[in-house]
Amino acid sequence: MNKPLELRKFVAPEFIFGTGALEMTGRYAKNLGGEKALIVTDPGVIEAGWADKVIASLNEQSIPYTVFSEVTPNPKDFEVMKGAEVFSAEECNLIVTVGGGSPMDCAKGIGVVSSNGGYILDYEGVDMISNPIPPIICIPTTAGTSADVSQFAIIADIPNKTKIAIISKMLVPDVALVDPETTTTMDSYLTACTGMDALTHAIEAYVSNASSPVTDLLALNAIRLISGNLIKAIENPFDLTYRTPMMLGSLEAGLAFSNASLGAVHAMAHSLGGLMDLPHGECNAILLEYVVDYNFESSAERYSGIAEAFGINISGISNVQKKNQLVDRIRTFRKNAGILKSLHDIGVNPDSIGALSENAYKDPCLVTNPAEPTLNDIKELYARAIG
Amino acid sequence: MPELSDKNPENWNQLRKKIIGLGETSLRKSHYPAFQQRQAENETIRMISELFLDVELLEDVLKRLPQFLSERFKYPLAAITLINKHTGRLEIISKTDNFETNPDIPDEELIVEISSQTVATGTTKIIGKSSITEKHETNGKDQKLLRIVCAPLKTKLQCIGTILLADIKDKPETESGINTLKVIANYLAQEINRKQTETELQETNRELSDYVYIVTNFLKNPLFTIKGYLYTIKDEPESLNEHFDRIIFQADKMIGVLEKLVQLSRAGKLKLRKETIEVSSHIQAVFNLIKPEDIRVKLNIENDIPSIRVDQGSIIQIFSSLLQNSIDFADPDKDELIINISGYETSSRTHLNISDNGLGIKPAIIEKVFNPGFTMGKKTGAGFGLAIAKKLMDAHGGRISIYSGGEKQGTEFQLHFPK
Repeated sequence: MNKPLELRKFVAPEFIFGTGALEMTGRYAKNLGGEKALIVTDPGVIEAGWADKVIASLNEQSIPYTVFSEVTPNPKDFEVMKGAEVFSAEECNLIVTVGGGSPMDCAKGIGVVSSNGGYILDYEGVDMISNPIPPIICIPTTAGTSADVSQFAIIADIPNKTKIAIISKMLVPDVALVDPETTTTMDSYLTACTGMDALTHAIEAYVSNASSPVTDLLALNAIRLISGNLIKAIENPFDLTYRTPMMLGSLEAGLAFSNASLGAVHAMAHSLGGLMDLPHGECNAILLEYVVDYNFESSAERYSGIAEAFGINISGISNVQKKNQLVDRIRTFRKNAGILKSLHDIGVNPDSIGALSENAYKDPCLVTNPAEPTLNDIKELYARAIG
Repeated sequence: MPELSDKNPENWNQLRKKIIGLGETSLRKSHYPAFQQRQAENETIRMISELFLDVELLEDVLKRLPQFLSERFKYPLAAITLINKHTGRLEIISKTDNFETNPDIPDEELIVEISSQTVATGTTKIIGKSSITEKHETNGKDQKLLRIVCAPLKTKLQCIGTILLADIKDKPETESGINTLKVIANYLAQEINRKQTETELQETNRELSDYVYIVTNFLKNPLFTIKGYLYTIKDEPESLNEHFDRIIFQADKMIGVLEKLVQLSRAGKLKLRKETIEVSSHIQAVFNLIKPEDIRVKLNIENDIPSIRVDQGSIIQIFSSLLQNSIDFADPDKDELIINISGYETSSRTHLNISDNGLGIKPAIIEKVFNPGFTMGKKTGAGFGLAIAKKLMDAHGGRISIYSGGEKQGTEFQLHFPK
């Protein structure tokens, strides 16, 4: 099914997967030469108690630290700048970030500014970071974002009401401590949204025109793990039997998309997050079925593979049937996960479509989408998702 | 990043290739520690180069630098030593203010000793607690100093001095800190070298223009006079005898000026052969040679003048110039010219005073007396004596200065010799 193989590389950090991984923070901080750590997190994670566990692990190795928790969902450019100020004022030389995508992306941004100076928005784009950033240890507390293994950081550009993507090998953390236990404190809706985010990562990476055999392997398995465990994880939040495969699925999806990049769903979700500060996972969950419907034809073979990974029997049916079954399955899955709203329900009205579409159209994620949508196509997709 | 809005397929393809990332230019993450160190070095160099920008004189930079280094490196004590070009010995140029008030820190002797070892080996010397304590016992003080780091100031050709940092606290020295000190030392050495060369060039330039001045003013006139006589002789050959002596006189005058010029030019370049000289007998001998017939001169030489280490030929020339100056400018209204010679020594220098009760010098021109060819209307000589004396003093690493209360208030020369 593959064309003659183009050159591809695969970048991944060292990672430790499994219950108790979080407790290795101190040892890794020490191994990485940490003299003082900046802990980047958010109030929710502190409340859930994970920040304290990280602190306890640093204390064991007598590594001093400063906590920076002024991070909101869709981390903002000025939050990154403030964090970078704290980093240098406190003379830190290592970053430990514990939380979901927002603290982790913010932490990466802090690293970029501390080593390269300037303003975080200056580094928008691919391979724009020249100086190496401080060592970063990532401890994800959601099964979805995968910033802990990716070479991406998405920062909200407040002046321009958009989100920028910074893509660089420099953003790959030094180590990811992926501990499924940390996901047990997520409520059911957050579990659903982050799980749908991870599913989107896997699907978009698999159909990306920059995918490779290695990312394919990871993406397909991630789809199997997530489709098989998300609903059960929501129903049994403290049961590691479901949380663990969800975390693994998220990790695999992250490794896949970090190397294969993403597609139209993310381009459009970034635009929603930037313009209206809407939650990233929820936006992805709502948009996914419309984009699959739109993209299917351009990459029918790949989408058939996804349908199979979902457990749909595709033998002997037409492409249109395959498409309808896959889109139905994704929609049902979303609803079963408890995400019932349309874009309209979360506050998006048709007036915004023009601005949303233009920003999405500039997002680098669109480049690796299997189909090449026009600006009008994007507008139509938003219109359908608004409902 | 290519703009996507124009939907140029070429741009899309370029961006896709960048995302796949085979042409990536980023450094590896593992370069971070090296990067951090480089950043710290750059920052320090930037701050030091600002010091050099702000001030004109090298001396001013060097004076400020220890304080700067001590703050930058959080060491309580810092010092800079340089080799004195004339004596060849290391001297402490400057040090942090608290150096002398803190009883726990090394004395100057120790600084110079450690610096000498550093200069001799050309490598950064790090001295820990034990060796300091050991050294200190020989000094007989209760030393609490724990660590000294001393980096050589190396130019391309030679080692010209050191930067030294000392700490009285137990402070583990990081490798990167020492490296940064080395980088500073290298930068500083180049800057010092550059500034010194600049000063020397300026000095040479000044000398050159002095020579041009001398040649035009002291050689042109006699030459024109000689030419005039020669034309006269051509027209009236019988006047040859009459003008012959005048031509010889003018030619001698020119030869005299040229000889002085040669002396002046060689004064800065001669290889000095230093020996210990007894001052009073040498002055007396010089005086006996140039003592005038027509005025009464009383030479008072104090008994306890310390001996000096100088080149004998040079010191005779210096004494001769200064005594001749006193004689040339004796006050005709006074019964006799009195010249007093006295001297004393300090820890690093020997000082000689030569004062007289002569005509003195107006404050307006006192600055110019050491310029070659400056004559103050004097009839004899061409005004080179004091210029040569100053150059010879410079060559010895010493200094000459002149004081006068004004007209008819006498003149005093002070000579300072390094030990």
